Amino acid sequence: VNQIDVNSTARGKVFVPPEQGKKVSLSRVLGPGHVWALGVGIVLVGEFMGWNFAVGKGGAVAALTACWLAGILYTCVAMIDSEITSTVAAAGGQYAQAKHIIGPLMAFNVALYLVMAYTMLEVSNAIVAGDLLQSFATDLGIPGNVDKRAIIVLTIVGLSWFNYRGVLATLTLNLVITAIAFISIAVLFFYIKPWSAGQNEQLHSLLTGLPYGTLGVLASLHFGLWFYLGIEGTTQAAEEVRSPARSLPLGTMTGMITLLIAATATWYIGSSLMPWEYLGQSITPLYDAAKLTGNQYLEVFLFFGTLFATFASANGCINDASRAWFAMGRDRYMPIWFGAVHPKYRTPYRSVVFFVPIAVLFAVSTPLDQTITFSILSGLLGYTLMAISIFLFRRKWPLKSIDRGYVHPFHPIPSLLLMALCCLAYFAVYLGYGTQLLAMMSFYIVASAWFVLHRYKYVRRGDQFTMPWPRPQGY
Amino acid sequence: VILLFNVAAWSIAGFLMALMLFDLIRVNKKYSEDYLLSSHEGDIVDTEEAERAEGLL
Repeated sequence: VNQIDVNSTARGKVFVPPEQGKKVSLSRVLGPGHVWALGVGIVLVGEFMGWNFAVGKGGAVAALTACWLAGILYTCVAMIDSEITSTVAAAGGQYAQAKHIIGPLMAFNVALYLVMAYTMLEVSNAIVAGDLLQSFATDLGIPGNVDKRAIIVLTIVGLSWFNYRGVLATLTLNLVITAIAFISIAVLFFYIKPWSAGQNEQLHSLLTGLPYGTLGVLASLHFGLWFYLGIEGTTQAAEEVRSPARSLPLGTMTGMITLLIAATATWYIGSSLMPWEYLGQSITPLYDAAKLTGNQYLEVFLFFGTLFATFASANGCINDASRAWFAMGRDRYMPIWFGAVHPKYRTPYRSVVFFVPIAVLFAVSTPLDQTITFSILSGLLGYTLMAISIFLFRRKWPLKSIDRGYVHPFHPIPSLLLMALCCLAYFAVYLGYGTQLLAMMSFYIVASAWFVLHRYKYVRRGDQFTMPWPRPQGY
Repeated sequence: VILLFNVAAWSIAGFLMALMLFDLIRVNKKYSEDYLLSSHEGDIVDTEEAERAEGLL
């Protein structure tokens, strides 16, 4: 019943209209490499820009501490996510997990966090792409002004078009450009010879301890999240990977290892080449670092590395936001119209198109730091729920009651650690963006009230639980 | 040069958006809503068929 409609002819494969009673669903064509590209692609832009604001909050040493604390937080996220998602392999990722483990209201909230986090991140990337091309043209001395809005709109529409046309091409593109961006960081790292005594002396001379004390370390945690924000997006591909139980944990964990290496190398490059007062305010720290080496080839390479990382991130975010919205539409948490799949391209095409005008409107009307903060806050709310989710998952379905593709070690230490670090991060965000934090919380409370009082009556309650699991313990 | 670049960026963006909207309307008209909405969470798609369709096999 579930076969795709393709016929071979003398001119190659052609698509034929479906017969009555046939079904269409997302295409299972991805491997672990695509999962890696989705997760790392979304995040790697944080190494090229954004992380360095942590330096401005508390100095280079505080930024390194924040980098590793956030690394622990995200390692916990990746481990917990891998275990649950290797069992709940459905589009929507954490939304589908929350729906099965906690309940509909939590699932609705998690889906909103996901949609907000990815859309705001996509918007941030589009803004950065505009800034980047504008400044590159200025650096080259080309007369005239690059129209930033044209770049923003082209980035959003162009990448949405890729997403509309099929997931395999979209994430293969992500794999290539993410790999190039990662290689550019590695090349710059080795170019400055971190093993040489001269470079290490320079680093030590630039390190100034903790200019704002331990509170600076806490404050820098806000932007330390930027090193890894979005790695949990790998789970959105759950319904499109060939072997979810293998590919998702493998892609997510290798992605996390890649990011830990890239984050530490990035910190070393930035902190050993620039004083913290400058580094803490730089818009494109790695590109600036490449300029400081005096090597023009490296400068151009890092420009393209930065640009590719920006595109990869926006590309992955469009993929993830549309899957989360599609999953909600399919369960009638949102109008079911969004739950449609394109018969030829096998993508959630209506959801992809729906986010184009929304992203463009935010990109041309909202400042970059606001969109970044909305994204971080939404992500943080999702991580907090993950810590609760794994406790309930293990309690309701103990290890031998259902098959798991991956079992994370040392439970419950990762979830307790995750909860503690999330609390620290909330405090860090509150220090810098308290009003936005409270505004976001209010938004989610109002949205929850709308869901409970209005929307939930449209949901077919029995149909939304699809996993072939035994009855949970205690029920 | 920059003017040309700006015009090209707007034009390509407009063209791609029009392509997507045109295709969206075409697909919505051509297929029944029941078929387009027939995807259900937990359905397993035949992997081999999907790979063949994507040209992997």
